[in-house]
Amino acid sequence: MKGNRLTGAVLLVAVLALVGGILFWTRDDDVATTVELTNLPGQFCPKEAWIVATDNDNRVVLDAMQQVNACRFIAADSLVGLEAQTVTIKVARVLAGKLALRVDEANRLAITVGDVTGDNSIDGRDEKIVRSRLALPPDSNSATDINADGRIDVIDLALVRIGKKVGETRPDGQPWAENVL
Amino acid sequence: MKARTPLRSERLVFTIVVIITVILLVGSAILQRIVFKAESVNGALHFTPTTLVAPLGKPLSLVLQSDFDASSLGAGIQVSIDYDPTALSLDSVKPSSGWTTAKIDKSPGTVFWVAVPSGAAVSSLSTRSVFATFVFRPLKNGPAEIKIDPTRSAIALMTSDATAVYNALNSVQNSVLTIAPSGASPIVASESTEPTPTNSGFGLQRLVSTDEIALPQAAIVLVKLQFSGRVVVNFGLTSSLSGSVESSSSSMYHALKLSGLESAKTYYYQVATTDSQGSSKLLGAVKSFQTVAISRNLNVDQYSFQVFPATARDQVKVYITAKDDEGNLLGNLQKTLSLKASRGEVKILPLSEVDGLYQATVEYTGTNRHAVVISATNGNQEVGSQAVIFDPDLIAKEATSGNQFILSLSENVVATLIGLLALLAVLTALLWKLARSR
Repeated sequence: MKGNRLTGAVLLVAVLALVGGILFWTRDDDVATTVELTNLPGQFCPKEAWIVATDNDNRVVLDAMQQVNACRFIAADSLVGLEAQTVTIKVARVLAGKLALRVDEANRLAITVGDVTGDNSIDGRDEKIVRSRLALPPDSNSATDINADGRIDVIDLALVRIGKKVGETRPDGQPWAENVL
Repeated sequence: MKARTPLRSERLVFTIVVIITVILLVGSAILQRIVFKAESVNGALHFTPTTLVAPLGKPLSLVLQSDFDASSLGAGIQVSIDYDPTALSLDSVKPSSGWTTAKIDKSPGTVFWVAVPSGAAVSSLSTRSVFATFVFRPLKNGPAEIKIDPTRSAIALMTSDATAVYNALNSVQNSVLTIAPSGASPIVASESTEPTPTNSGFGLQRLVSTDEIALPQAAIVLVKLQFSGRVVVNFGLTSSLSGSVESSSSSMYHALKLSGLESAKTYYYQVATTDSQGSSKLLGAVKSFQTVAISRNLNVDQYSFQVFPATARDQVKVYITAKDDEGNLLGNLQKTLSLKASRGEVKILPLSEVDGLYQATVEYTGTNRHAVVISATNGNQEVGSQAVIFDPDLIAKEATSGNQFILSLSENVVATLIGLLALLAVLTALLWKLARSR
């Protein structure tokens, strides 16, 4: 009986070790507090993003432009210690998005590109502009080349049609700055 | 016969349950990491029919359709078409049910047409989807060609996880017409629902895949066709594609070498193939690659391992490259690289190295159809492995069937899953036997 219990205990420990190993293998690497922009289409590569962070009482604790590294990573170290709970992010031509911030973790925000008019909303007006520019060469700062692949085509039109919705407003109700529209 | 004690039986049951649990946990972790990735769908755009005799002056309807390798969600299509304006004029373009024209630019000899799903942002597409009917009017007797420009055409599909939109256009095919006097009846090439090599010229030939291995002054372009055919690769430093290499024989698989390239330059290439009658041309999308340099570095950052083709009668080639952290090729690994196969009926010829490309021929001497895993190591380091199906009857099958089943998962993953299932089946049988003995 004693031997049986011992065998069971050894097997249990082995299983726990294996499960632990698998969880360790499949875990997300430990990272500093970062915000990663996901769902970036094609070669779309934002350089900077406006962050508005609020605390538990919905007070704005950070309201500043931040650099975007490697087209998708926003260093959120400046948020640490501010007791920031939610972060609203606005990138030019992208609908503003909001996420609940987790400190010392990789936070991800799926973005929606296609705000050609810069009104923080993707609607029929954006679609109409992209339609009118189809097959035309994009100019140097063309908002209609949604995926930034150097041509305005049906992929850009599809992105606008799929992305139709309204972005998050600023937590303080103020309008977004011109340079992030 | 000595009866099994309850204590021993319980221990056995416990052990088996533990093993099954571990297998399921490991299996789910592997599946999570490897299998459930969104596969992109490829589309081949063409008019139907691709070959016909059309009466002069009578309206001629051509259906624009695309063959996809899986059903998908369509978000839009754009097509740019060129034709001889003295031989044809375009009367109208009528989108298919569920699609609406978003833009059309017409000028003599060319039309640019864009369509999107009506109402919703996406529309379900089957493996053969019709987008529109183009009505032309033949203007003079003689041959006429309708060409789809792959550089200005695109099919927007949404990924199955609805996170991205991508261009699924993989190849286009032109249409060849013969315009006859108005009294003649239209002769349309019949199309079978089941593709066979005998009718593969009529919109059924497809570029299944194209891939390239970039070298310092050359590149290898690997092409897989749906049916046997000859292949031409046009290439150049600009999209005008001034160079050209042609295959010497008709086959489903081609490995063509582009020579005389300059180092560290971006090259563009386009694969073209003709049907069995040589009357209709299939053009692939224009792709690009960058030639590399030979590194003096000794540290390998990444390997590329490719066995081509993945299905063969008796012979395949293994291509290996090793790159340093700057993306340049390492050319000093011939002594440490080694290949092995999972079956004994396989002969691996010695590896050779030219300009950083290590290649070896693998021959199959067996008489039955078998999957063989070919793997490579560099010292103790794993370089890569790939399963190949050797089928001595492959040529006969090509001549009778023409339909190829393409696995969307890699053969390695499928083999692993089959192995896990087999193990589970054995353990279940053991449990069943044990239960019965008690």
